[in-house]
Amino acid sequence: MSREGAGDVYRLVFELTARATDVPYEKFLDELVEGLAAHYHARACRVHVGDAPRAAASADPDNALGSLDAANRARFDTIDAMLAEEVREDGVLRTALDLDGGEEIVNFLAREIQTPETFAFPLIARGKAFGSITLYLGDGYPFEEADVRGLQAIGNVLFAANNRGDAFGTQAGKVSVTSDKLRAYQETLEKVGKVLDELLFLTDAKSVLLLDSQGDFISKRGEESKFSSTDFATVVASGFAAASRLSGMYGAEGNRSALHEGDKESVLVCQVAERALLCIVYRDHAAPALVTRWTETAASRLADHYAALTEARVL
Amino acid sequence: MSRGAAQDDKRTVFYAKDIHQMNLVLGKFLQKTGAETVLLVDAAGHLVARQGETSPSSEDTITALVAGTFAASQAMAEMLGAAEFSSLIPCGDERSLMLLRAGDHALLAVAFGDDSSVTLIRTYALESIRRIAALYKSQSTTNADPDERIQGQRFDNEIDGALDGVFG
Repeated sequence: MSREGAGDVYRLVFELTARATDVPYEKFLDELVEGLAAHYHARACRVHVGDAPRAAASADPDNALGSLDAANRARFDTIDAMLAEEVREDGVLRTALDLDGGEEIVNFLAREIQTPETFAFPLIARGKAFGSITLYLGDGYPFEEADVRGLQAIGNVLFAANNRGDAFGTQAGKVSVTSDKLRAYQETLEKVGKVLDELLFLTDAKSVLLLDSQGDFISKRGEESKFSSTDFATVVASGFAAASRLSGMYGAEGNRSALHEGDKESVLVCQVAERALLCIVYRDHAAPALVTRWTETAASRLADHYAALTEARVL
Repeated sequence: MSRGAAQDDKRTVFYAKDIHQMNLVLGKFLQKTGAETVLLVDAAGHLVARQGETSPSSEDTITALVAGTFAASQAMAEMLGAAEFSSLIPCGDERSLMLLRAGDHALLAVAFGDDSSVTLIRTYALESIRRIAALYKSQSTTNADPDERIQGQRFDNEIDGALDGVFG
């Protein structure tokens, strides 16, 4: 099995989570386990969410589980549920060997589904384990730190997906307008809002702000802050302007981003079509590289709306 | 240095006594990290010390922009209730700038290529900042040191020991 390391894992997570806001939750889970099973060449992959004894989604690419007889299938399901429960209880990664009767269980899994290694990763969000992802591997594979971080980032997205309700695509309190110009304006605002909502959802960020490059506040999603968003936008824009000039002096043709890192929270600012700034305030994250990637993608999507934004005079 | 030396007597004393040691600290930092340039800038944007490659543009402008960027970063940190922020600014695909607070009176700006590790740069920078902060403190509490070169050499050896202890 050959893989390329952190970039490879993050690319996988990025691709798997990209559709989290576009498809129903159940379909997202199915795509997730199928993608993970394929990436890790697993004989099976299961995801458990909450305290339900049954897996929320299961991938069986080689039909290893499907070919089990009823008794062995029931035994496998019991082992899978035991692993999931133990991981969810304390949020610690486990292998099949860690269970009571570990050696017998490992032998059973090796004999019946030809998997010498089983890893159950905790899904953690807001400091609490709420589920697990279990990979029944076809050959031994020592996970690297990047894999754990990448899977942790999936945890944040899954938690948000499980609790999102109808956050996307519904427009509660939507005002009906008859003017074409107003309708275009409203539609543009909705598109911008959807991008911000999705970024907030994927990154588990504290807040996401869109402002113009002069520091005028445009839109915000996320938690209410104790300070004025307008003041914050001004500071962000002035800092980015100075950083942009600075990077220009060191040869950059156009600065696209700046990252300000604190001990608990960080602020990432990305330029949108040279006219606006997308600013995300996020807590300590397992995979900051993914936050950057998600934010840059959101900035790029907002830039795609640039013409419409300008026309609608949002910017 | 000439600009600092041309200012008041107190500042001249400060440079004469401490700049050599600051340059030793910064030089050691560059040696260990492979960074291109490191600038020590005071809060008002004046260059205090520098080591490494010549800056690509006017150094006065660069230090002023460093101070401006960092002031905005600190304002963000205050709004969010954080003690402080460090800033990372990509400069094209091959180079980045890192800005960190160096004690109460200065900040450190490091230009480094994409072949350098950000974590390594930050770790060595924080160690260097600790040394520089100690120099600032000793400068403000003592009037003179009879043998600057000996003290500088001692710092050099201490840094070697401390960093080698961490990274082998």
